[in-house]
Amino acid sequence: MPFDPQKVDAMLARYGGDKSALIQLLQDMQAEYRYLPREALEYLGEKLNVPLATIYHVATFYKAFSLQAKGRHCLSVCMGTACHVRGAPMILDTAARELDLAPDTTAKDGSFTLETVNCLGSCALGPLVVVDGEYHGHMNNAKIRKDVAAMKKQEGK
Amino acid sequence: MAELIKVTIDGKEIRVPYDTPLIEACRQAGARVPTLCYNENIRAYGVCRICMVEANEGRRTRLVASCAYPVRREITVQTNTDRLRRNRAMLINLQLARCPDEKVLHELAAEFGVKEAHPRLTRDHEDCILCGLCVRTCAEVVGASAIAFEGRGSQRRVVSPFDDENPACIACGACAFVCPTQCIKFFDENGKRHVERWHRVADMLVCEKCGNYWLPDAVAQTYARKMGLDPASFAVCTNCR
Repeated sequence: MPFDPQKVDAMLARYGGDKSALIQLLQDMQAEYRYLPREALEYLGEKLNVPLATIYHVATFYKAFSLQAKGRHCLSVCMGTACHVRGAPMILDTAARELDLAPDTTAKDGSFTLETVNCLGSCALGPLVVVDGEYHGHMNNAKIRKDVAAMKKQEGK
Repeated sequence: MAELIKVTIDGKEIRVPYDTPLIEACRQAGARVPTLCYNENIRAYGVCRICMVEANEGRRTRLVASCAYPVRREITVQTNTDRLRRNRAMLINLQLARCPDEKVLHELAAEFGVKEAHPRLTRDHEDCILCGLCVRTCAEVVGASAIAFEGRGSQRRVVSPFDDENPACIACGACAFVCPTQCIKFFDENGKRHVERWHRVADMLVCEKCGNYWLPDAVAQTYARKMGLDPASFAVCTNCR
């Protein structure tokens, strides 16, 4: 998706051009583009009067932000302690095999991203994966295969 | 005149104004307090922890980072106890594991009896100790904010945004000047100043008299703006004035 200054202007208007809304703006941008395009960050810095270095610092600090384009579909496997002891590594292996993707990478055609996260704060649901923003708890191999198949179907594969 | 507060440092009594950083009080009293991330012209950051001292304000003795601790009431301080030396040794140990080749660290290691980084620590060969002096100088003193920390935890490092040339950098070299490990280097060549770590190549001004390149253009512009000077006042280099 190409960078469109008007879209960023609309986001800025929502927060009244206030520089303390930087993180919210980055979240909106991440939702819009599925990553933070460099030109968009540069434009944002100019508009908010915040140095690009400061924006870059914030954008690289949080795992929720990505500077590389993410896939159209995103599978996040929780590797937190509770999920780990309940079999998260196995879930991750299965997901990686089914998607034919190494953990924390995006498919070349931009279809899928497989990522690991360290804790999603829903430990009672472990092992937990997030499929396109939707929390799927108590995972096992059968369920993860089903989720991957559903994602592939949406992609027409 | 503001009230003065009594501070006792290693048994020596002095009086300092309210809010004086404890490290400055220690130095006034003649105590040596080592530090890696402190510079009196920049806001304290309290990240290297090597300036820790034992402070007692009446109830119990605590370890505080003296650079980030303002004197607000009567306080008794020890700057070189066994406990402090042990703590500093541990910190230097960890720093050495990250940067085993840095001279400043070896000097501190010798002072606090650290032979080399603990064998159980894996050695990186970094030259940056992440004190943040360059980042803070660039933001607070220069006002350019051209560099920043990237990432966090073990991935943390200081870079220019996107690890690419940043036009906001005026190539003044202040970052190189404050760096305790001297890992930021710059050189002037063929009318350009190169700051390699930040991938910055900046144009330099030619002195009208001697014809030598003498100052990055952006530095002249920034200082002219900041100090309300005529940009033309940078036309002649300091040697020819």
